[in-house]
Amino acid sequence: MYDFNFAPVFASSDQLLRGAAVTLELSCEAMAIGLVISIGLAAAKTSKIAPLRWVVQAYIELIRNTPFLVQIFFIFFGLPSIGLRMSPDAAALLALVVNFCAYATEIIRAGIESIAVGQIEAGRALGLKPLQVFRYIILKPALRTVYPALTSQFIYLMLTSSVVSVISAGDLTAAGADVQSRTFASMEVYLVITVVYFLMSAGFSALFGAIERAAFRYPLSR
Amino acid sequence: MTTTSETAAEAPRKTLETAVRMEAVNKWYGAFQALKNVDLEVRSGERIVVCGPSGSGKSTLIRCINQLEAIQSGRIFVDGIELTAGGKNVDAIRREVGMVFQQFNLFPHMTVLENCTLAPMKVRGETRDAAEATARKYLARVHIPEQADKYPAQLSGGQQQRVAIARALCMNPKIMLFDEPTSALDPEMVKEVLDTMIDLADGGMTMLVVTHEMGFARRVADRVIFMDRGEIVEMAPPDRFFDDPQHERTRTFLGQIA
Repeated sequence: MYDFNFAPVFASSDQLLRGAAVTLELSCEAMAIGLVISIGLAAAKTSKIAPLRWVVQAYIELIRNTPFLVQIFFIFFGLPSIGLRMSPDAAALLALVVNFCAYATEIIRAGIESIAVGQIEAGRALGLKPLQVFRYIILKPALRTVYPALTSQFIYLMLTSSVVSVISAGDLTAAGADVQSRTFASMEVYLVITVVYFLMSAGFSALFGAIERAAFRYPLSR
Repeated sequence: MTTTSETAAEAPRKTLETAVRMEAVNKWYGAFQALKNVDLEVRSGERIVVCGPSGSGKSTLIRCINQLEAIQSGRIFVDGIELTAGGKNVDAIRREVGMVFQQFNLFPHMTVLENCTLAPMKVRGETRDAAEATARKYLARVHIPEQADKYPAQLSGGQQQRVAIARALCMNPKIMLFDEPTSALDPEMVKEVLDTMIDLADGGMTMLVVTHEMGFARRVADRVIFMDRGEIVEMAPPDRFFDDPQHERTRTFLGQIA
């Protein structure tokens, strides 16, 4: 029977907590920036301007058909060759945003397309311009429709952020790997990290539920 | 086609100002021609009821007036301004033309009051206070001032349609278009919406109404138009339209809906 020994892990708890904080910060930033950009891209994807739709579609296909790890390497190790050098934290954030937006854009697009054409006509008939119709009439009901899918993607983003540990961005997984290599307590370290990720996911889920109740209070028609 | 001159004599309170003029308007959906060479002149203050079988082009006719549908040929003037496809004057015209839809099309995420204040604030640049004061005035006029803070889903169909009318009125339109405003309503709610429209007509609003409510047409309309297969087949004051229709297709239609 394996003899658990958590003492070396708890001795490094400061480092692991800092890692968890980095993961949370990175995830929240990527979620916020990614959401705003995805809304813009989804608007472009559903616009009448064909070249705009093609550019967004090409980006989505490129990102969804290549591994996230390769995307990180490309940004962190590839881009410096053309003079775009950035810190591991910045590269990690950029990679997460670029990756997340490809999926979130498609989710939000589905929400936009679920809006009845009569809603748009009502807005246009009132004299609102296309961007105003999008901003005031389409956006909120569209986000409500796809909110569950969007929150899963947010959670997935947070979990996927563990991959950025490969460029030493100082996140929870990187901190865990460092503690593991010093203490060799692999089982204990990754058990603790697993539990921390799970708790962070549960925390995000609770937060998203609260946001949903606050932001989408209006009743739906029968 | 009937000319419009005789109604001026029958309704002396109307001005001679033209609210809407359509000249030789043609509209296709692919190979299907929805409007064929339609000419129509509506004077300010006039009430026009448009009826006809499904697919006859009656909704398309009024949707062309605020450019929810683009036309392929012909000319449309609204309040003296010519509509040009995609042009800047489309927004100018939409500010002057209110529209009420069959499916109400209230914005579900906004309260009744917010539905009514959105366009005045964002299109006309009114302050919130001014827009809310106007909205409450029109909500009172359609007899639902107490529903101002509810959401559309909390209202009955008839109430929602009255909010939709109030929402359009908040833009202070010169012309109101109604696209089958009672067709999606339960029978017991039709009257409250028609009463609101009658009240509006009595106030002198220029109205184009697509409807099969023939009682409403008789009571309110200055002229009734019968459309079939994209054409205006018959156009006459209600007495003559209902009691002495000139065209066989009109008689057949009136026989079917009676």
